[in-house]
This record gives sequence, structure tokens and C-alpha cells, in this order.
Amino acid sequence: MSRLVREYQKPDGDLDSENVEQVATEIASTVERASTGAPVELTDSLVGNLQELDEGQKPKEPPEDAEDAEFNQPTNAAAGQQTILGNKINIGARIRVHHICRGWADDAPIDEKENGSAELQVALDQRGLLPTVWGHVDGCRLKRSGVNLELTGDLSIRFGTTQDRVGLRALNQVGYLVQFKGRVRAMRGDEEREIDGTLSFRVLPNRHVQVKVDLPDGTNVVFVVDSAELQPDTLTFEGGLLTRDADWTCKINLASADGSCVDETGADLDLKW
Amino acid sequence: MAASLAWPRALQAQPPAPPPPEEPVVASVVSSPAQVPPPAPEPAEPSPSEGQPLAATGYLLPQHDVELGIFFMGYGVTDWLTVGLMPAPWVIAPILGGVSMNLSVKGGLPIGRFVNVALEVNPLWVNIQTSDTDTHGVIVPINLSASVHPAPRQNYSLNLRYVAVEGANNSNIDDQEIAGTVLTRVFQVIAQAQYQVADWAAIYVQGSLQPWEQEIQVEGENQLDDQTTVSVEGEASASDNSLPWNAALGAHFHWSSVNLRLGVGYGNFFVPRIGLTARVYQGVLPDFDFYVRF
Repeated sequence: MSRLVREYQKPDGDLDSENVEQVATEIASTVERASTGAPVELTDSLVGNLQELDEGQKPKEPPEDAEDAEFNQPTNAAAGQQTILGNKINIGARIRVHHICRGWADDAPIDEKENGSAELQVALDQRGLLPTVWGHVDGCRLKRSGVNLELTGDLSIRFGTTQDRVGLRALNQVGYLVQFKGRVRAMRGDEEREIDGTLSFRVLPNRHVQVKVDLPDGTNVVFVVDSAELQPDTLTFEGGLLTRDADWTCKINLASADGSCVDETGADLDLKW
Repeated sequence: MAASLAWPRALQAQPPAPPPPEEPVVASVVSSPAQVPPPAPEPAEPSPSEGQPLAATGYLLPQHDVELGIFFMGYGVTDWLTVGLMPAPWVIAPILGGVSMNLSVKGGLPIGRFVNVALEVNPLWVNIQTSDTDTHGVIVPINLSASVHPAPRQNYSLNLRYVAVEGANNSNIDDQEIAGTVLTRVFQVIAQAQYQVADWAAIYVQGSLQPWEQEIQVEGENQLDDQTTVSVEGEASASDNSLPWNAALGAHFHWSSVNLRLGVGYGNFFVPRIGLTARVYQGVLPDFDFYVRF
């Protein structure tokens, strides 16, 4: 996960007039996969569950007005001795979070066999939580914007950036990176689609979601969008694009396969495709 | 011619010779009491436990002696067996919302003239149930002590204490605590030295160290919401400090049957006679004991 964190913090891909079509194609494909299959709400819920374990501490409000770049620094993650369900753990502990997925129906009963589950394993010692958490999703059914999803695969969550320990009370302050390896079945009416492979996304406390876009030359750029926009039925995305030496504001239309990006770092570049 | 009938004087009747003096009887070793006063009986040596605390020492109550104190009440069944109880838990447990019973049995004997050794077992049963906690268990402090009094004014004691805990609820640290003291197995070493400066007063120094404690196992499952459960398996240390300790300096006053021990120390608080340490405090500590022994 460390390498993936670096790729999100410091994308090394470029965008210019020569490769704009190629980059735009990759961005559209990646964002479309992520908007359909990325279990953002599920991971948000699981992270919230972890924060609830520190009963004595009310989590601070997330810094919703902060800039994305601020979360690239290894800020104070409230590491140190943790209190789990009222017990000060000053040696070590293993925590298992088991979540039964909501299912497709609005009033679906809580039924693990029918709707599947997601599970996370967290380890901590006297210095705090290990920042990488592993888990598994097994036939987890959830509904996102009218699309029924079923996820099966392995889940990894990395809190913060380079901190070697984090604290429960700071989980909503430092952001987290999710990598999902598995299969997503997406169904809307009679349409069904399968997404296989790896999905990654990074959730920041200011409600931005970053999606890494791998380019054919082996480099990557990062597309940034508001979490509310990253939904299966969204066809137009307006967000930021982070490249090696520039920040862009982009509009991407999946339906018409066109878009534009404007360089925000003062180079006065305006690319369209 | 007529013979004289007078016997010659030599032949006249003589009084009987006195009997030869009797041979004197060989004198016996013991002089006649009428003649030499017996030596006064030697005063009995004072018990080495006089003016000494019983806790964490090799001393016992002499036979038929009674001790009534704040932390211990006991009776010397024989010179080598003392039984008693610790009154404080009987009183404190109900205040905390529960009940407690205990017993103390101490056996020991002198080795030579200067050394006393003893083994003491103090089983304590406690059950505290309140709205916040449900703690119960059997605590058994076992003390192996040796005391040396090489000179009349000097006393040195070394005590090894193992506290066994059985039956405590181990799912949650709060349920293993009584007023901040965690019920867990520990091993402790206590040493003290006392010097008699006058018949009625002595100064002492005492130190306690807990080099080992059993880690508390934390296990629990919590339902966070309708869909989510959390299981925790963990280990925590019983005390916030890796090696609880304390040291104290004080004076022991002894007037007839009354004993008062006053001192001040620093470190962690060790519950008297039981030995478990409180998690939450390390600092200046009073050292106090009062008892009458008769």
C-alpha cells in the first residue's frame, strides 16, 4: 500500500496537447468503473464503525474546507495508547469488525446469507493502530443510485499517508486509501455488468474522492471529484486533475465522450477533446 | 595379808569411750537450701516479634497473644501458628456495593537464634455488583517471609508474595477492577529494615517491587448497530507502570500493648496485606498502621 499511497500523493503523469485524447480516454474509463463499483459508502460506514470503538472520545469534525494537498502531509494522527470499548489497551489487541450488508431492497431484513458481509481486521499496539487494515467482502449487496451491486473480494484500507501508527479519534482527520481486488456485479433492470480486477480510491476528510488513473506509459494522474458525484448514474464529472507538475480543472462527459481541462497553475492551458 | 580390792586406777571402770566420730557424709552438689540462696530465675527472653509488625515478616504472635488492628486481627494459637482476618475488606466491600470475606493463616518457626521464617496465606473472596461493574473472584496472597535479628536493636525482613486470582471476570478491564485496583496475578518482593532507637521507638525503611504481573486478557463483543458487530481480543497491563514499586521511611512506636506505625513514602499504592496495586496513582503515599497486641 505504501507505493499506492505515493502514487496518489505524487502523480507522475503529464497532460498536454499531445496526449490529451489518450489521457481523457483513460480518465473516462477509470472514473466510470469507480463510479459504478467503488464501495465508497461501505468503506465510509466501516471507518465510522472503527471510530465508534473509542467510546470516550467524540471524533472531531472533519476539516471539510481544507485543500487536498494538506492531507498529503503526515499530520498528527492521534497515535498512542488507544481505548477500545472503554479498555485502555497498552499492550496489543486485534479487532474484528463484521458488517452485514444492507441488501438491495430499501427495507431488506438483516440477513447475512442473502445480503453478504464485509469484515475488517485491525491490529493495534501500545503506539496505536497499524495504519493498514485488511478485510474481505463476501457477496456484499448494496444499492448505489438505483444500481444493485454485489461485491466479492479483498479490501485494504490505508489511513493517512506515511504515519506508522494512527489513532481511532483521528481516522476522519487524515483520510484513507482503499484498494479493492475482486469482482463487482452491477445490475440496473435487465442490464448487468461485471467489473473485475482492482479498484482504488482515496477518500479525504473534505469529502473529495481521488481516483488514480494509470496511463499507458506507466505513469499515473489523479482525478478528484466530490464524493456525492461519484455515483453509478453520473455521466458528467466536474473535478480536478492532478498531474506531475500541474493542477487542472476538468469536465468529462461520459455520454458524449468529450470534455475539457483548464490548467489552474497559471500556464493558461485549455485542452479539449 | 589381804589383797587390796581396790582395783588399780587403771582398771577402775571408765566411762564408755565416746563413739568414734562419724565419718562425715560426702557433701552433695546442691547446698542445702537453708544455707545458699538459689539464683534468681533468668528472665524469659522477649519474643523477637515484640515491637515488630507481623505483615511481610517472619514473625508470628506468641501463643495466646491477640492482636487487634486496622489491617489485621489475629490470635496466636501456638507459637508457630497464628490465625486471623483482615477487617478492612469486610468494611470496604459493602461501601463499594458488595461483600467480602477473608481468613489469614500463618505458620512459622525460628531457625537458630536469629532467624524466623513464616508462610502466610490470606484467601479473600470478593463480590462487587453495582450498576457499572460486576466483579468477583478469589484473591489469595501467599507470603513467604524471613526475618533476621542479628542484634537486639536490628531487624531485617524479606518477603516474597505471590497473589493468585481466580474466578475474576476477564472480558473487560472494568469488570476486573475494584476501585481502580485490577484483580490479576502478581509477584512482589518486599524488604524492610527496622532499628530500635529506644525501647518505645524504632525507625524503619521499607520497599516494595512488583517485577511480574499477569497481563489482563480483554475479550469482548459489542453490537455497534443492527448490522455491525465488533470483537476485541487484547492484552493490557494491570498497572499503568511497567514495574510498580514504592519506598517508605517511618517510625514505629510501641507503648506496652499499643503499636503505631507512621511513615511517608513514594511510589505506587500497594493494598495493605493483599498487595494488589492501584492503577491510577503514583506519588507521595502515607504509611500507617495501628494495632494493640496483648
